[in-house]
Amino acid sequence: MNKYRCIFQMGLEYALEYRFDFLFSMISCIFPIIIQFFLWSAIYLQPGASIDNGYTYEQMILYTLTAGFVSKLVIGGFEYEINEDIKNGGLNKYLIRPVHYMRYYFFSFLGKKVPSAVILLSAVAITTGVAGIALKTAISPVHILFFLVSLVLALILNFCLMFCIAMYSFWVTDVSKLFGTISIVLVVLSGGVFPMDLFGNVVRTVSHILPFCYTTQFPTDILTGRLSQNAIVSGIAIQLLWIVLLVFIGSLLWKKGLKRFISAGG
Amino acid sequence: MNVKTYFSKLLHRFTRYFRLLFLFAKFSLMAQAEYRLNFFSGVTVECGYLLVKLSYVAVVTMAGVNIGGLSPDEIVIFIGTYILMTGIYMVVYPSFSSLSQKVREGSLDMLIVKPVSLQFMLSFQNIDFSMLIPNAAAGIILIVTGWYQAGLPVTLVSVSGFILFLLSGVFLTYSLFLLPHLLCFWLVSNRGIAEITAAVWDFNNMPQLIYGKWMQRLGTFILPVFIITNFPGLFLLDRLTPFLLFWGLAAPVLFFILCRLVFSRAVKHYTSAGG
Repeated sequence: MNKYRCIFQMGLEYALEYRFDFLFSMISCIFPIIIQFFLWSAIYLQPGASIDNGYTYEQMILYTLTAGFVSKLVIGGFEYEINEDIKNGGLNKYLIRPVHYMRYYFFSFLGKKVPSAVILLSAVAITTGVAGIALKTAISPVHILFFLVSLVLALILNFCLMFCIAMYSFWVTDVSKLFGTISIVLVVLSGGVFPMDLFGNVVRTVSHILPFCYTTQFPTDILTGRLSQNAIVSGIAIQLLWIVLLVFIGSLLWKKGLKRFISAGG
Repeated sequence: MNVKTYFSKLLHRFTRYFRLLFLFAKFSLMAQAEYRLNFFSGVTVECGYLLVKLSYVAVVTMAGVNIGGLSPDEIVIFIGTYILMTGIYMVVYPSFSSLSQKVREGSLDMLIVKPVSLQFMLSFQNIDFSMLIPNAAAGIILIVTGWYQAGLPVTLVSVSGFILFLLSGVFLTYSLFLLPHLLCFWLVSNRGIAEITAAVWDFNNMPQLIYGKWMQRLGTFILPVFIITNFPGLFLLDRLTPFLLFWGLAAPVLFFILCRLVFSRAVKHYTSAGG
């Protein structure tokens, strides 16, 4: 376990290497939140407007303020490194080391997320706190606790999801551009831009079955106070179920993919 | 030198650079045709971003209410303009974003010695058409649909005014969005700045009229990103005052001069490290 602690620390140090980049990247996630804040305010506060989309104005503002940060926190990024490892033969060094490849990236991923988590969770606490006072809506401590639990699970779930997608590199040599497309589509499907529940019953039903919305929309919905305790517990159970399933699929793809690995360039 | 000779030289220079631009575009297209999978990957990446932009269209049309005094159909024109301009911006974006690498690795040396404007070479050497295609297609479809649905007149003045402000937006995009990339002459890595720049660009995802008064002033006069995609639509809706009409055409010129000045200063910081 000691080696994985070192990998975790390495990830943490790596994330802090380019501090300006890190700071600017954190600031950049505020801009879409501002756009959506104005958009929803303009829609809901229109005189005579009666918006029936399952969200009250207060819930939508809380969702907007939180989803952008949550989406930024859970997002992957390591898939490009895996693609490079497989494409250029850098995977060799991991194969001869006494580390498990998936666990190596998992702990490195967690380490890289620590600085983002501290800043983004502080931002969530400040913005939702201020919004709560301004909109006169209180977030209960139970919901905050459930939010934190579901957020940790969302982080793990997104890692598993991206690891499975990264395994595609064994079959296609260079998929780096494809990862870009997949990441953006996943942000949309996870509710990182708008809640998927807005887009009709069919989209809502499908999105609640698939794992994507459990990475962003579900934790965010908990904080907005939109979900009942039963819905929260069943949502957390679904998160756990998807994690187990994706770990299994990821391991299977790793074993199958490794047989195709030709160590080109290594 | 008399005026006639001056203009003749200017015209000759302009023609030369125009031919160079055509050659750069041709070579870029040939290079992209060689790696077709990369080209189509670029198209799919942009389709992903397009999905995000279209989700705003879906939200606005599903809400079905006037936002910032604009009907959903009118908003579609603004979002369409934003998508079209994004496609045009993306044509030169690879050149802008590769600037940092060239400075860091010292590969600017070879370009500095060429008898062509360095800024021109850096701006148009890597032109990418893959991201233009989906954006231009979706943008034009949205503009035409919104224009038709909103019942706006199709006259010579409205169409030519709309195109004039589109062109003004293209020039402003070049100057305004090259500026942050020039910071790479002072900073080692500008990935974070690139992210912020992209986020500022995305403010145009919605018409400026939804934002507060101070934000509108800031985005029109100080950091005039709103001019790029809002002024064509505002002209169409007859919402531009004579002063804004003037500012919409003057801002690209002013920011181009600023961009030239900053570029000249930035190049002096180039150390050819690693070259």
